[in-house]
Amino acid sequence: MKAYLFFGIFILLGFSARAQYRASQLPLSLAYYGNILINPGVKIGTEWEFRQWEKTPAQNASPRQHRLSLDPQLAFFQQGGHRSNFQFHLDLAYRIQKLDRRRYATWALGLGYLQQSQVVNWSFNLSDGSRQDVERTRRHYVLPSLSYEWGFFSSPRLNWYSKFSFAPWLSAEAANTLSLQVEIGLKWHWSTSKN
Amino acid sequence: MKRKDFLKNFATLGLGLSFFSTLLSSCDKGSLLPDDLEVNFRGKVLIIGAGAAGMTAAYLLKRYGIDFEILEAAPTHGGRIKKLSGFVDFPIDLGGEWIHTDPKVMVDLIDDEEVSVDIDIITYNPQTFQVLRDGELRSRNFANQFYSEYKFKNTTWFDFFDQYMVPHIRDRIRYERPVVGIDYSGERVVVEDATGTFHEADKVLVTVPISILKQDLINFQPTLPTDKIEALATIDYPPILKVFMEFSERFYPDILIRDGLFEQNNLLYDAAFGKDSDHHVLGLFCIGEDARAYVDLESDEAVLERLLAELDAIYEGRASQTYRQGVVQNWSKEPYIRGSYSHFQEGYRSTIDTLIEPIDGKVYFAGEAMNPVGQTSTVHGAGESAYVAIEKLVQA
Repeated sequence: MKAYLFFGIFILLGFSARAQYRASQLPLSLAYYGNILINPGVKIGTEWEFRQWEKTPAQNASPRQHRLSLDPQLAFFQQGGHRSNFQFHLDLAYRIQKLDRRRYATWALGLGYLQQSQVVNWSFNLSDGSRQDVERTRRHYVLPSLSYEWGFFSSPRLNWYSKFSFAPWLSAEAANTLSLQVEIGLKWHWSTSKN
Repeated sequence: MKRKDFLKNFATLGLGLSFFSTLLSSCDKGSLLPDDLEVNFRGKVLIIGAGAAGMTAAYLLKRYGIDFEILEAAPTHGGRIKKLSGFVDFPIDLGGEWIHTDPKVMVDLIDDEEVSVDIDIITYNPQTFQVLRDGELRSRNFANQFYSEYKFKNTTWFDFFDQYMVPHIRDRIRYERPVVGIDYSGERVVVEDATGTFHEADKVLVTVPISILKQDLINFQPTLPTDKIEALATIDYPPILKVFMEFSERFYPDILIRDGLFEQNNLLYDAAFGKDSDHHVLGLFCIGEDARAYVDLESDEAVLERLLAELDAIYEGRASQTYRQGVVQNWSKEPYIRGSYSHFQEGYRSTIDTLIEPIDGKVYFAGEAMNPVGQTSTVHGAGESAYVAIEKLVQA
């Protein structure tokens, strides 16, 4: 039930941000997603920008573009071949970029929901090694997160990025834990304007 | 590589066994011996020691129809794998307990498609970690992100060998025959046991713990080559102790580490983790310097008393209040084991190559310290080392 409640909150937040969405480009991201660096996985996501402004900090300095967005993401990663993790995450992201540079940096506060399915008991046949899962357990976690992302536009439509997230895993039914998650991927900026 | 180093190295890198088990799980079953192995040897082999390596070697020789005999010093087989039944409602591994690789390595060790039985495995992924530092307990649950191994669910390492290998070789095991001399100066090898009996064979396979070789408890004639003696001297073989205590209630985490998080030389662990049991059993795995505080105590009762006092200090007396029973396995006091398992220094692969080099085509070596194809210091590694030794032996 808790899981559905979290999903509901995320979706409402998402619609709220989407309603205010006014950018002409919609970034779509695809990344390698490594929990504690190497537990392998993938992540997809997008960004719903709801505020953008420019500021020149000093005379002769480059103007900087500031941007606030809500970034929903879906991730899947494996741990040890017996733990499968499905994660939904929503970041409130603040991005800053010098307009004459192609680099940018983003800080984000996020909240995620993670469902872990683990094979706790399995058997194999001694004749041929064929394996059968005997018992599986599911754990549910809430993941508040703090992230830093660094990116580089290789073209106006494409940027590469790496992102580091520190996230405690909180659960009412399992031991709390934490992890450092690393994301390396690319974002395709899909044009949403009709012209 | 020893258990603690394995954990330390990969955990430090943030990799953890989980990563490797992912890769290992994807590996197909493969035979440890080449399909076209030429068996040229048709003489008799004496195997010294009925531990994991000795039993595996015997099992292979039986398959190839080669005459053999095992001389075992103890009254039972197993060596450093040992099972305790009846303590609670699941069997306890008093020796080798964890499976430090993909459990399907057992398929390779048995290598017999006729043995169609299922082995139940626990994914050993403890959730709650505590570290005791300066007398203070600290939660370190983040370790559950990367620490994961395997254990048997309802059986033990001992059961694996006892059920699937020993029935093939039982009639060739001679118990309570500690070997005191190996004379390979003649055309045949003559082995003397402590009862004064002499045994002759064409070849001998030595699978005793390296403590026996390091302490020169077998008189080789001629003496072992200098490079082997020097190689043995570089391997550490520290003391070890395992204790299991049952309590009426649980007050401890899945793992309590009493040294550094990535050292794990002195850890207490929920031995009932993943078992179908309502019993609360806490295990102690203590190796190296920390183990000396226990292994030299005068009795098992003294060990249990000391450990209970230590637990009481950590958990405010709850250990003594809920204690039911305990058992101590002091491997350092086992006369034919005398410690734990090999701890190598840098460059251990060349050390192993030196150790396993046959002498005069008559004396061969295998065991947990002598696995050139995989992990050392493990049960499955000992079994693998037997495959390597037998491959050489039958071709010569």
